[in-house]
Formats: sequence, C-alpha cells, structure tokens
Amino acid sequence: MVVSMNALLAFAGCEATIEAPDRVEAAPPVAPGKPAPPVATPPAPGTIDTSLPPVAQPAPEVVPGSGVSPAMPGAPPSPPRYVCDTKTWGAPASVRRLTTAEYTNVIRDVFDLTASQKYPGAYGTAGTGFSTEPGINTIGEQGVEQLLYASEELAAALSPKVSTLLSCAGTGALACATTFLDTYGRRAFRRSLTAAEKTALLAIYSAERADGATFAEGVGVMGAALLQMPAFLYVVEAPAAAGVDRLRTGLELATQLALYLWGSVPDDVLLNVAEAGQLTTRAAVLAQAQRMFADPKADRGFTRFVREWAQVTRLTLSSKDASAFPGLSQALVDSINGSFDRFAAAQLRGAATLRTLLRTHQTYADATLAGFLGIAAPASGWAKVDLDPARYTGMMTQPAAMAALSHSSETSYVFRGRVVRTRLLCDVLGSPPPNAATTFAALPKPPNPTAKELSAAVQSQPACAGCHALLDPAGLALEGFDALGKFRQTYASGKAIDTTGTLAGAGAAPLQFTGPPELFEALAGLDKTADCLARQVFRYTAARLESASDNCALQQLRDALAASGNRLDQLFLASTQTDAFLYRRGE
Amino acid sequence: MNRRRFLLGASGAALALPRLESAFGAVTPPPKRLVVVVHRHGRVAGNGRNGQDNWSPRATTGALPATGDLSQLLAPLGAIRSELVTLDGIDNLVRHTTGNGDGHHSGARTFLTCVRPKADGTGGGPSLDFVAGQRLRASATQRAALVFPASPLGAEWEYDAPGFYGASGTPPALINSNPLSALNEVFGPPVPPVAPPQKTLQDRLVSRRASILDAVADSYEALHNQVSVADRVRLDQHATFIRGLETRFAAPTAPVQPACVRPAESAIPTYGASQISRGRLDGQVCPAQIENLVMSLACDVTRVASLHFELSYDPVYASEFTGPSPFDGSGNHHASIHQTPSLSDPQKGNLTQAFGFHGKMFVRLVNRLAAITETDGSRLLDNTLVLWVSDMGYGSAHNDFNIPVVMAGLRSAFPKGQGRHVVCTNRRSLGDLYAQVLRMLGGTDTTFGATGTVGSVAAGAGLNEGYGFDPTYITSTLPLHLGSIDL
Repeated sequence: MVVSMNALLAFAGCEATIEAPDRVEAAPPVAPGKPAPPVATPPAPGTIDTSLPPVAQPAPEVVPGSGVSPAMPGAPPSPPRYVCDTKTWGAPASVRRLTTAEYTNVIRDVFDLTASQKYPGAYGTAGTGFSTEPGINTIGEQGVEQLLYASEELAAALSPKVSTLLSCAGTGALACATTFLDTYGRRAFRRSLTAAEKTALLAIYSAERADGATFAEGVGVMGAALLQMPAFLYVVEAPAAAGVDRLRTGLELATQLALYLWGSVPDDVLLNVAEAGQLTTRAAVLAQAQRMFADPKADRGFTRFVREWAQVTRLTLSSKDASAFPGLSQALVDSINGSFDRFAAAQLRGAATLRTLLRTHQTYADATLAGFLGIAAPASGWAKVDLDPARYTGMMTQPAAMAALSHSSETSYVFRGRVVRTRLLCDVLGSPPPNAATTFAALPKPPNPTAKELSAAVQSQPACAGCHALLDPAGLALEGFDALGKFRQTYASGKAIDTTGTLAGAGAAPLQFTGPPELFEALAGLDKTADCLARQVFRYTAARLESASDNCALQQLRDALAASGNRLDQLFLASTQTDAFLYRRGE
Repeated sequence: MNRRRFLLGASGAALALPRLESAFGAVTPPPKRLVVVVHRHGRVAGNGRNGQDNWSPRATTGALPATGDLSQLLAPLGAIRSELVTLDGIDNLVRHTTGNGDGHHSGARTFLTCVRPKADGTGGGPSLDFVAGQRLRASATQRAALVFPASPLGAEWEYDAPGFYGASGTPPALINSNPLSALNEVFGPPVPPVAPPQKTLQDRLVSRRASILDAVADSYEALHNQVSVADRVRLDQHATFIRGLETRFAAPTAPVQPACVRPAESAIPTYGASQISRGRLDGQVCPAQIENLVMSLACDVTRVASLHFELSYDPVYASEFTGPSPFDGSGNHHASIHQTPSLSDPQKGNLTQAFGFHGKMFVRLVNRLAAITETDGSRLLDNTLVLWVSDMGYGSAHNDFNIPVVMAGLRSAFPKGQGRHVVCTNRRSLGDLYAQVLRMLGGTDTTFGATGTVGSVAAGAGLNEGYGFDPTYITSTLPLHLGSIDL
C-alpha cells in the first residue's frame, strides 16, 4: 500500500516537505528476515499512526522576497509516525568515487602505505553536508591526471615493499604477480579480479619484466594501473531491473558496510563471507556489522560521521590568526584535533547515547591540551578527563567544534547557531534577503558590541528577525568559548558574556536556558533531535538526502534509537538493516 | 618521457632550439590565446547609484584619461592604459534564473558559464575558458584550459567552487596553488642534465603511461553496459578524460617556442603550512603563478589560462599595507565589503588600497605577455586576449549588475582600438560579452550559455520566477542576449 502523507516542517522560508512516495508498483518478495512493523498494535500498514499526537503543521505564509516567515511555529515539528508496509523500499544509488578520507584509509589498510596527497579531492558543496555525496566526487580532466601521478607515487612506494607483502617474491615468477592480484588486488577491488582485469594487469607486468625490470618494479608498475581502475576508485553496482528492487549482492553489501563503518574496504573475513554467499540476510549483515564495530577501524568511520555532521572541520594552524592566539602552535592544533577524534570515537563505545554526546563533561586530553584547558595534565599520553560540568557539555563545547565554528580570530554565533538548527535539529533555513548586508551595515550598534548586542540589532529588523530569532540563541549560548574553543567569561572589551536565552521552535514550548548545559540538556531530550540524528545517519549512509520512499527506513532508525534509549551504536547498527541499505531500487 | 620534461632543461634556462622558421621554413603564425583573470566582489565598494562607483574610468564611452589615475580602483592600470579597453553596463543575467538569493553561490556558479547550475549545485556547463580552450588548442593532445590560483590554498575536503568548469560542468584543470608544485604540474619535473645509465622505476612508470592509461580506459569502457544509464555517463566521462590523457602522453614531441623557458625554481618562494592562510603570501605567490601562467602559453602547454584571485574567502592583502593589514585578524575583508554601499564609508580607503593588489598583478601579467616575442616577431600579448571579470557587480550589495570588465591584448580584435572605455548604455549580458570574446578569437558565436529569456530559463528549471525579478529591469521577458558590444 502506498501512503499519501504530507507533513510540513514550517520554518522561516524553509518548507521541508515529506512527499508521497513517487511510485506504485508490485511488491517484490519480502526480504529474508525482514522485521515486522515495530509497533505493538499497529494501525493499518502504510498509514500514519493517529494514536500519536498530530504533528503536521500548516505551512506559514512566507513573505515574498524575504525568505522569512512572519510567524514562528507554534509546536515542535516532530515527524509523523510512519508505519512500514510489507513492501520493499530499496534506495536509488549512484556510482561514486572514494572520498579522500576513504582513499587514505584504503591505501593504508591494503598496502600499508601513506596515501598520495595528489589524489583529487571533492569539488563543490554537498547538499547533505557529508563528503560521501557522489556529486562532489566527480572528476575532471585535471583530476584524472592527478590520479595518474598519485598512482605513480604509490607505485614507487609499493615496489620496495613487495618482498614484505609477498612471501613468493623471491621466485620472481608470474605466478607470484598473480598472487599479488589475488590477495591485494582483491582487497582493493572489494572482489576477486575478473579474468580480463588480470590479463590486462599482468600484461603490463610482463612487458616491464621483458624490458629488464625486477620483479618488484614490475609489480610496482602494474600497481600503478590497478590503482586507477574503476573497480578500485569507484563504488560500482549493477543496476536493478526496471521497477524491481534488488537485494544487493554480498560483495556489494560488504563494500557498503566497510565504507560506512570503517571508511575503508572489507577485510578478508568479510570478503570471504560475501564470496561464499553468506551475506544475503539481514541477520548475516548485522552479525558482520557487530563484528566490525569491535574493530578499532570503526572509530574512523564514526569520527568522520560526527565531524561532518557537526561541521567540525579539522583544525589547521593556518586557519587561525596567530596574533589573536599567542599560544597557538602545531602541537596545540594536533592536540585539539586528537582530543575531538578520541571524544567522537568514544561515543560509539560504552553504550553512549545522544544525551551523552551532547551532555558529557568528559573529554580526552594530553599534556598540551590540558594546559590549554587549565586542568591537570594526565600522567602520560592521553587520558579521559573531567571538565567543569557548569561550563562544558558534550560535542558542541569541545575545543575543536568551537574552533571550527568560528572565524580566524572571532567567534561566530551565526555559524554555531546554524549548526544547532540545521545539523542537530534538521531545520531548513532560507537564504538571507538580498539587502541583508546593507541593512546590517546601516544598523546602529553600540561601541565594541557584544554578540548579543549585534544579534539584538539585527533582530530589530523585521526582515531579519524571522531567521535570526531561530539561528542566534543557540550560537549566543556558546559565546563563552572563543574562536579557539577556550572558555571565557568576558570579551576583550571587558563586557560580560551573557549565555542565557530562549530557543524557539525546537520543543513544544520555547526552551529557556542559562547556558550551554541547560540548552543541550533540553535538546538532548527532544524527539526532534533524535529524529534529526536518525536523518543525518541516513544521509551519511545513503550519501544523499532522503526522499519519500525512505520513510520506512527513517522510521526504523527512529524506532531503533527510541528502543535503545537513544544509543548511538544501536542507531548505526540499525542503519545496516533498512531496505534502503540492503536493496538497490529498480532503475 | 613527458613532452615538457624532454623540452625543458633542469636549470630553468631556455634550451637552445632553432626558431620555427629555420626548422620548418616558413614562419607559422602564432596561435591566438585567451587569459581570464577573475577576482571576487566586483567593484568592491559603492552600489552604482548616485555616483557611488570608484571603478569606472569615465561615465561615457570614449578615450581613457590620458594622464592621472584611471579611477581609484584601477589606479595601477594607468601604466598600461594604451593596451586596455574597460567596460560598463555588463550584467550577469543568468544568476537571476537560479532562484538562489545567495550572492556568492549564485554569482560564482554562473558568471563564467552563463548557464544555471545543476540541481546539486555543481556547474551547469563549461566555463568560457574551457570552451575557448577546446577550440584554440592545436589538437586534442593539448590541455584545453588551465586555472592558476593566485592565492595559496589549504587542503580542506570542501571548498566553494570558484566558477571555472570543464566539460559538462566537471571540475576544471585547477593547477596547484603552490607555485613550485604548479611548475612541476605544468612543465613536469626538471630533467637531470645527464640521462641515468639505467632505467629507474620512475622512468618505467613514465614511459609506461600511455599503455597503463590504455588498460585503465579499457576497464572503464568494459563497465559501459554493466551499469545504469546515469552511472554510465559518469564513468564514460572519466574514460574520455583518460583517453585524452593517453593521447597526450602518446603524442610525438612538438617543436618548442623559442621564448619558452621553464621558470626557475630558485625564484619561487617556499612556504610552510602555517603560512597558507587568507592571502598572507599572495604578494609572493601571485607573481610566481603569473610566470607559470605566461610560460604555459609561451611553451604552448595550453592556449587558455586563467588567474583566479581570492580563492580564500577573507584575504588579508598583506603586501598592500605597511605594518599589519587592517583585514588581518578581526578586520575581515568580506565583512568590510558588506559595509561599504556608500563611498563615504571609512572602510573604502582600505578596500581600495587592497584592491590595488589585483591591479598591480594585472599590470604585471600584461607586461610579461608584452615582453615575450613570438616566432613572427609579434608580442605574445598581441596574440593573447586578456579578459578580467568578477563574480559580482558591486560587492557591497553582492549583486550582479555592472560586472567590472577590463580587456587587454589581441589588439587586432578591437576595430575601434584600445585605450578606450565603453559604456553599454542599453545594457549587455555576460553571455553577450563571452560570445563576442569567442568571435574575437575566431568564432562565429552570437550567444554563449543559456539562451531565451530570464523567465524561460527559470521556468525550465521549475521555478515560478527567478531570483531578484525587478519590474524596472529584470523581468521574466528580458532576453539573456541583448546584442554586440561596441568594441
């Protein structure tokens, strides 16, 4: 059954519409092990569960040209409950090139080499905010040439390692070059090579050998070709027949699991399971996902998600103004980054929840970061440390997050507030009106204005108030952290920092808070925050924005979160169990 | 072996090669080239109303002032005024078909392509430089167009597209922003003076490039019938690029221009990661990139090259100020621009001073092109059209009216001569300008990019109306092409 539902998230110039599913077709066979609809007494499949509070809101009138709604939403725009029918809802998929992070991981995991910096990165801005989106990972003429040079650089590094990688290297035989392809080529391609691929690559090897190359040189040159082939660079799947969703093959699922959970390629265990035809059920996929979770490589995948979700780009020395931060050094930059990576990875372990993520006052510090934070240094190396719970609260107050969401020397309450609204609450905000800049310039402002005074000046303008009333409060709450993420209580001007505020449009009633701990305590308890997290995990996994046909998958993720008390690890596991993950939609 | 490596010595000195006339008898006319220069934020300060403009050299069409500053922003260009044509009245109309109010994104993604961006925000088609480059190049073995960043870039995984696009809106041939790396990208690593007695692995990799690329392209083409239609487009495009690269590496070595000199590595500054920030080193980096750019034309690596200023969002312009730049730290160049709709704004002085960097570098570029003598005795500048445009009209309002345009070089393509300022009183679009540029380079184009009306293009994208419709000028019936420019 196909459902018609239309729920509007009503915000400033920014309607996010859940459309009706865009097709009606015969249901394919139910997936093996497909779970029953996750409600105890379900209403008719494919309908909205009306026993839950109605949540759809009428769309507010949008002021033409301003992109701003004159009316604040009166109730939290939580998603309507969607009850899955028995139909399979596979997801569309596009061929995509490995991201820079994935390429780096794969080169290390497969060949124990450091990736070439020449690998062409993304170009453009991802609609999802995640680096996995196919559109930003297309490649141009220059990129293809860079790939050539990157593969040559790796080949030069690979050749001296051949004797380490291949116990048969001493024989110098063609059979040993074939072993290289069967072992390392298979890992890089996420499948065994086809006969044609082997023939083409071994022809290059043989030509070099005939030209006087050593065995290691021959393998190196062959490696340069292997590293440019689509089976390595792209996630390629066979299309599904028109109108029929297809269960992904075991090898396709193995690749998807590995890229998602590890940011890398499958290990031999996963490849073997897949090639043996044992990765064709939900239970088998779940079992592998659980095994992969236990591997430290899962830290990389989760950390990448958290960084991209919260827009915590990696801090670089050059991104900050050294004159504004006299203590800034490469060591401090490394420590701030290292701390955030450890913090993020820890959220995948130990039954951490959404609330832990947003509320914990613990982080990880080495001696350098401890000095920066003004706490006692750990005895050695890195250690979990307690910070002042009245000041620090979870992910958003980590120094790396506060530094990323700032200018080079000044904070940005707009950047910070925008992340809370668009990334933590999934609100969609419109563009500034065309005269925003001139309006702002003409506003009267006090001398040495505080962020709050600037915000008030902006919000005094009706055309600006709609969006900034939503954007600014959460950002202003975080003004107690400077542009490098250090806690402060006053501005350089001597003016006090006021972190109190009210956040509208998030909960049923406006959220009043005295500072970040109260703000994030409230946000952590909202269904809307949990729903948004589920959406973001979906977008990260699917590498695209959700559509109407993903309603069931999204509901499954929401249910998994709720059933586990908002545990992050359970959400990640659940995302491997949806039709959208397991099935490719008919073309 | 790489063609450029073969031709160019390690020392940076020109190789002693015969002039083309002695090698081939008759003198071969030099090819036409195009250089596109781009900076951000247009005329920076002012809003064009009530005389609020400090870019225009004069209010009407006519000769540029013979003495004194051309204008406050163009003051450095006085030294080359006889080589210039400046334009007023050019608008980016396609931006108004995007439905996107953001001045940066909508302007930057349309001002060189004149087509709407794709739905995912990436380029909707090739930019002018690539279109011209495909036509001007000697053969498919030659690079169509190169883009040289004038500022050092960081390495974040995401940055905003600067507006240049290759085939079908794919990323451009963006050369490394480190001039030393750019040198090697464009000309290849220097050739050791004496060939090593035995092949190294690097030699093997280089000599095997064509056959490796052939095998790689085969593997892409083998997927053609195994993937969906949409995936096929992407993979086929990759394969096409590989075939182009393969052809280039397999091509026989061509004779080199006598003026072709590999820029000296010793003249290029080195800098560390901590210095790659917001244009603090632009004063050192940009001249080196200009040298790389000019020599990429002189050596016929490409026939179209672009210089892109301000890939960083908030540049410092450190070279333009004695002592700390007002845009360093909290100065915030971008915010200052937003604050200067009026030329009486106190920020204007600093913005004008900073803008002087673009002018100085433009003069340097033109002078270097003028200093290169081609095979027929003409100046490289005489065969090169230099076009300087921006992603906006007035940066203060982030709008797209009155894009600042400066043209230089290719004197024969200006029937009314140079040293002129032209005011398009009845307005012209960037599409008009670029079509005319292509005609100046030998084409017969009457349009460039999207055609029809603003409304028809917006409607074709499912928009009820475009962005910024204005009953006084930008209406749905306004044509995207309005006619030729009085050059």
